[in-house]
Amino acid sequence: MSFINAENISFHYGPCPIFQGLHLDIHHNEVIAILGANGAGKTTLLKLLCGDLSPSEGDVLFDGKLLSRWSARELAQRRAVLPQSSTLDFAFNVEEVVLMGRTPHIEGSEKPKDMDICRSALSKVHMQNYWGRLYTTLSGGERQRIHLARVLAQLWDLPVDKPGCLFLDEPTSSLDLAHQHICLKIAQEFAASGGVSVVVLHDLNLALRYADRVFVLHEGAMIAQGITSEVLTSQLIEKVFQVRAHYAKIPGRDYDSILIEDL
Amino acid sequence: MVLVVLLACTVGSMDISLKQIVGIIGSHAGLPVSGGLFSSSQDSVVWAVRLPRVLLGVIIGSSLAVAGAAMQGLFRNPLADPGLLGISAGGSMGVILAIVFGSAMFTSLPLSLRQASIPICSILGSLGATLLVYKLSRVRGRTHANTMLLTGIAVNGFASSIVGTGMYMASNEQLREYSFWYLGSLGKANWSNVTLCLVFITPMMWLLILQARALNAFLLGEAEAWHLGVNVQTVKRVIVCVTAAMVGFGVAYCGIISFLGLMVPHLIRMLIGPDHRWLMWGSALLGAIILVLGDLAARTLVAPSELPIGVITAFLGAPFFFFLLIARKRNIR
Repeated sequence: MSFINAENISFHYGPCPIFQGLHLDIHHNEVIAILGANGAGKTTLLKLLCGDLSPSEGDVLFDGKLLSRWSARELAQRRAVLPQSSTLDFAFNVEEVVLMGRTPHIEGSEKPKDMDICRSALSKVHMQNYWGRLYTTLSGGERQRIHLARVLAQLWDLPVDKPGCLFLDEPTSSLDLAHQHICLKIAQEFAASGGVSVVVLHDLNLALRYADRVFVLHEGAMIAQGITSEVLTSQLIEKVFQVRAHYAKIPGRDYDSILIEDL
Repeated sequence: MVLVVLLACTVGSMDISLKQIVGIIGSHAGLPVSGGLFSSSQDSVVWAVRLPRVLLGVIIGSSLAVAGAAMQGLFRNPLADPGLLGISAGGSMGVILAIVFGSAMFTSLPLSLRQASIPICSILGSLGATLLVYKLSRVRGRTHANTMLLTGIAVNGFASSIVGTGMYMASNEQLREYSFWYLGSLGKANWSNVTLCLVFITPMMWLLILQARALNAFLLGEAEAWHLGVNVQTVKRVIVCVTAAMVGFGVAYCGIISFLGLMVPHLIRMLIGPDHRWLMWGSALLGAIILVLGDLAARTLVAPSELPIGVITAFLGAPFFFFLLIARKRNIR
């Protein structure tokens, strides 16, 4: 059975329709990359799948149950969303921001276990030494990693029969090259433990390396979905992104890299 | 805070020591207190005048500060204040209407009902203004914080134009009555007022404090709060309605006490950080302390006459607001 299932969904932003009669399935243990040019509808699709937006027509099922039938809290215990950018101008400490991720699990006040989870989540994004620092003094990339730790803390240690879904909207946009890979490895590891990671990406090489399947969006419609290396052909890349792509072998590795050249 | 309450009871035209205050309160609480510690006139001054006044200050001060903290969290804007939603302006509109037109309309009513017309009109005005802001700012079933702030400004403008019209039509005596109310005072305190405020305001404050964790999530953004399992629309509705009713109720009894709701949460944030679970309690405590001390200043500085408490809080609050704006400007650079 698929974890997330969209049946015949359509959505309208005002009068302009996007996604007419879209079908998709996301299975357990999958990393899905959503690709497309600016304004193609990547974030909209992510929002439809995580429940931020309701489709104008059609249904989205999350673990077999209509997304609109989930209560906010129940859903928050199973899915976390990392937005493109967060505006938080209040002077919280780093661990307080991460602890917010535990909100749906805490009854009353937090337990030592919740603080342990925050510590582990911070280690996961290599920020264990930032404990006690003020969030407002961090750089953009550091803030993005703190929020990644926050959404990881939200879905930490879920029961095996209730796996979670991690939605990441351009999680690598302010990260340095090493941390881009670390971030995607975290998404991969999360999916491997029984859940699902859905990631909006711009870097085709990251998609090729880490995503099991890709959804490619073009002008408000899904024009291709499937196994990453099969879908990302040079013709498709040229059509969607207006650039020319060449596949090249990385010496000593068994995966390809995409070289990009402008048209 | 207990100390501030007791201290505030000692100061006044009649000299009463701290020990005597404790004795008087103790004797009313049914504790055995040795006779001759205090005179009966001291007893009546403390029990009937000073203590209710100070307690009213505690309730109103903490309710305003908690309301301010809740509004600032809800709008994710440290400059938000219950006044922005049109609560205070709506209240003043109700009061000026009650004073100017009420005297003509309610002459047939018994005196007690006529006296109650001011608080009732004030609460109705506050609630009405807030509901209007709330309804107008709902777009397709969602409330947008920014639209809400803008609508609040418009409602404020409209209400103050009604107030202006009322003041233009008012007689000298009515004008004086209105301005005395408008500037705020704890002078009308008596035990029945205090009990009423306590019964009405305390549960509301409790309801707001219960939203602390949700308010923390709100600081990340409304969508993020929803991702964290917060029932965003419900929480917003609760906070807006409870704040309106609570502040409206307080305004009815004590007039407009400005800047307290803005100032106190900021001070607490500087002291213990922005986590609402501590911020709300801290604000309640500090709000009470500041208002009681402010009231102390109001009734002693120009004794035997007294200054309106609103004047004192605004006198201290306005420079504080400038300081905030300047500090923000530096941060942006």
